[in-house]
Amino acid sequence: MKNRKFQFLALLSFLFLFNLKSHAQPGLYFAPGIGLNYSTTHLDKLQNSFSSYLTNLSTIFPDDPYQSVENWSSKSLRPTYSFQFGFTNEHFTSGMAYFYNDITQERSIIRQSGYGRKFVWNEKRHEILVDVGYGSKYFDVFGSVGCNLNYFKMSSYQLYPSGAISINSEYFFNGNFRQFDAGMTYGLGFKIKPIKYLAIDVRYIISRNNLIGETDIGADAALSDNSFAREPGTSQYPQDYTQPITLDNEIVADFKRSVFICSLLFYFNYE
Amino acid sequence: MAFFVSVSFIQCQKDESVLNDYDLFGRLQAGEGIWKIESYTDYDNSIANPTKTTTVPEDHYFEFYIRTVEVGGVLIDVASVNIYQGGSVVVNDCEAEKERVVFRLNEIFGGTVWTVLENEPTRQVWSYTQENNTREMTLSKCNCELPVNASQEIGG
Repeated sequence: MKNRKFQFLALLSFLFLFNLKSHAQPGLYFAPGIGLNYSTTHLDKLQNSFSSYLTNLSTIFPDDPYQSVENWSSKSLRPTYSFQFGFTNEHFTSGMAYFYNDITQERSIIRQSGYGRKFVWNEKRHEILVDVGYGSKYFDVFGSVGCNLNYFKMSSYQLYPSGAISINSEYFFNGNFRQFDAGMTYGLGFKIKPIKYLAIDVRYIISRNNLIGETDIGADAALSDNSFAREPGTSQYPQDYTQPITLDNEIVADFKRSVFICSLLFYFNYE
Repeated sequence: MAFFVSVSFIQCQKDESVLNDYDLFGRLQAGEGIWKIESYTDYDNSIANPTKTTTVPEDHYFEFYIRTVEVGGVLIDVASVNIYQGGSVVVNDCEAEKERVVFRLNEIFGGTVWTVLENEPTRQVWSYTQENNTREMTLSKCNCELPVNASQEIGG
């Protein structure tokens, strides 16, 4: 699977270099940017896991009720950071775009006794895209294809009445569960360049969970805590807290996202 | 080009976020890799608003570094920490993530697990909890002189 991912990245790099070589003439640009990223996803597996944790609590501590808490949100509005470079002229634009987005959510379940659990879910998403389309002095419209590289992490802490938190291996539910996943990304967008040095980039992308052919070569790794501090066999983040902690009770974080990005670019063009 | 060079330098000694890498270790071992333990704070975690007892140790340091060891004829690098307490030094393996730091002494599994409460380039606050007892430890990065035991030649 790794070889496939590296081959795909190599192909993307080749396409970009080919474009540069084909149009090695004035019209190069580079553009760092900041903006907003609104995205939606299906976090069903995490939400089901969270619900099962609450069910498990009610079973184990029937006389120690917890404060109600909202499940994981599937929507996200976050700042995004980007960098773009490429070539544009009166009829054509081609370039590469990189977007970074960090999505963090926290949920704390506190029981009447003061004990509880804190979950921190973090997605670090990197989008690497090749944009190709129609270009002009003031307006570009393009299609995008590329890949996403994502680092998922669920940190699970025990909470204490004093306010202390602990991620130590005293409890199986504590841990730092990680997973990496890559997938295809494609989308559409346009760029408005109203004044010199500034541009507005608006795009919609679909960030999928699989690379081309990935489904043919087996399942991804799951969210797991591979610290030597844990007992062997307890490394997976549980899909269902009411079931025994085993290597099969796991979550594969194959979360694709639909993403709308609006960025302000500091646009430097070498004509 | 200048941008990429700048980014490359900015990334120096920053935490990495690679799966299963010890992504806090780069920060801990940066420079001399020496951190002084400024204080310990102990309290009972089973009650709200507990009384906290703070002690300031003398000559307690951590020195983080990469140690090369031979395992089965193969040389491997191990993230390690020298723990200085008074006159003694103990070498531990170390896993350091942004959420958790593990010190492991001659163990395959287990070890002492610290929870990272604050993670700054020159200041760290970690806590260790066992049953009702919690100890918080404040560390500051320093270029301190480590307490050195005079070596004794016993042969050759």
